[in-house]
Amino acid sequence: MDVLVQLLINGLVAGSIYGIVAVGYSMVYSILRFVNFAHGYVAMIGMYLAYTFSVRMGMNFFLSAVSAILLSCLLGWSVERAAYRPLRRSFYLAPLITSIGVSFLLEAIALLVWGADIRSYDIPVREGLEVLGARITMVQIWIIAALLLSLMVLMWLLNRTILGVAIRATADDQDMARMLGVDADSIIVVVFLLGSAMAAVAGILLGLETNLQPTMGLVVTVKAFAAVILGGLGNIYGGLIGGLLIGFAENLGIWFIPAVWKDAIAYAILLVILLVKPSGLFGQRRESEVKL
Amino acid sequence: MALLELENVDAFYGRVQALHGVSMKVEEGEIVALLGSNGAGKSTTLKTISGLLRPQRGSVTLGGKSIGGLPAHAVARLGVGHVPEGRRIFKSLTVLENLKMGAYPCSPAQRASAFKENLDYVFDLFPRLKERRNQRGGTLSGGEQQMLAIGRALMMNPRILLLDEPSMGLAPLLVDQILDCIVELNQKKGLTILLVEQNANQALRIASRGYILQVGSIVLEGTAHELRSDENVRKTYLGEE
Repeated sequence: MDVLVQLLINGLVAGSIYGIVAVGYSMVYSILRFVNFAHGYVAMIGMYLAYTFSVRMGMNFFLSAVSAILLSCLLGWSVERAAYRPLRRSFYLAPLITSIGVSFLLEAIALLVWGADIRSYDIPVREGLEVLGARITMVQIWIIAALLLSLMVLMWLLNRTILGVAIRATADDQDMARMLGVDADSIIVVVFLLGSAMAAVAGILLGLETNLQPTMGLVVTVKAFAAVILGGLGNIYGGLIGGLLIGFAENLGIWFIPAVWKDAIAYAILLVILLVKPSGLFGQRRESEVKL
Repeated sequence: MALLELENVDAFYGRVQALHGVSMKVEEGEIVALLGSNGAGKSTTLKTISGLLRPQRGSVTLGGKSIGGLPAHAVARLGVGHVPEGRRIFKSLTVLENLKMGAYPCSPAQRASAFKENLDYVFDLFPRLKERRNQRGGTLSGGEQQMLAIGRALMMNPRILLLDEPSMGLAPLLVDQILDCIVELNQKKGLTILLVEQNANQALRIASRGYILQVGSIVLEGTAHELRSDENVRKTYLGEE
């Protein structure tokens, strides 16, 4: 029983982290129709920026996190401006290939700046809470609180503000949105800022939950990508639910198979979904439009 | 001065010329019909007005101000309301959210002051939309989607309404209802309307003037009465022998 609760909590934490990264993918995909592979790498950079501020510069962790999130927004915006916007009207695979290039670049920068060694935020481990026989650390409680807050802010923004409605309208039908006065380019900027902020939150929380490594970019990318495919490409909320499902599947999976196979579970889900239902759980069937 | 005026407009899709020197005007308070068969360039003309397509030559002016070549969002903010071909309802947004998007071109101050009033007006005009305001756009029937498309365009208090084939795919009874509503908007609200139709019969019933497009050129223009009595129009567009 207590093991099950522990695995469920771990699943919830990992799943929401994948989920909020996945939302960034879905938003960009639903508007620009390309998978921005570099998105998970922005999460990794955000993770390291918080490390620089808190461990190297000795700033308060909360302030470090906020600064890292803001800088990640700047990074996401610059990547959009420098790498993707010039390709807006080019061959449809060009932005995808460019985003893979950006990923390599960001990973190389992380290796140069922070090195290949495993690092951590050095947050002192404190006595955790006992919930139904399982142990949750204070850090995990903070992670869950931060995730809930981010999700609430995101939901509020997308559902309750006119900007959020405009983002969803642009995702539905870009030309119609333009005919209603929506400047699609500014919406794209907002989507990159918002997505990068969410990615940085996820990266920092992942760094708290595990460790910091430059290869985290790829791990986050693959997990979130699997979440997006599972939930249905282009469905903003699909990725969130997909992320939660993958988090739970991974963590409950290691009840049955050795823990070293944990990462393989996400890949397996990705493969099965692509074979069985490529449009995902909540995606509409638009084969002519699916461009990977 | 006409509210909307096109002068010698040429437009291209890639290298294919779709409009050849199109000139037309819509005066304040008029319903003008733009007629023609499939592929004649009716929707292209609308796209050129709305800014989705850049005119290569010629001018497009709204109230004397040149709008040719402006991006679509800027044209919308100047007061051009669209009811596009195929309605293009935001399928994953609710009816109410679709209407909120209709008010998007307004400035925040305008939106705050006029939103409620415009919403009441639209719900009054189409009570069905009020019943379904929390339903997703994609779940509406064709007729309801048409009502929503018109309602959405009204939310911004447009200076001119561009209607692209509002009768397409609707049952005859609904077509009459939509046309009645267009007339009402014109007469009670004084709304200027450019109506694009393949169904010339219906359009000329409610329009005061009309233009006929053929392969990207205006081949005939006149009052609705003149067009209806023209031999060629009767044969080609009104289906009379």
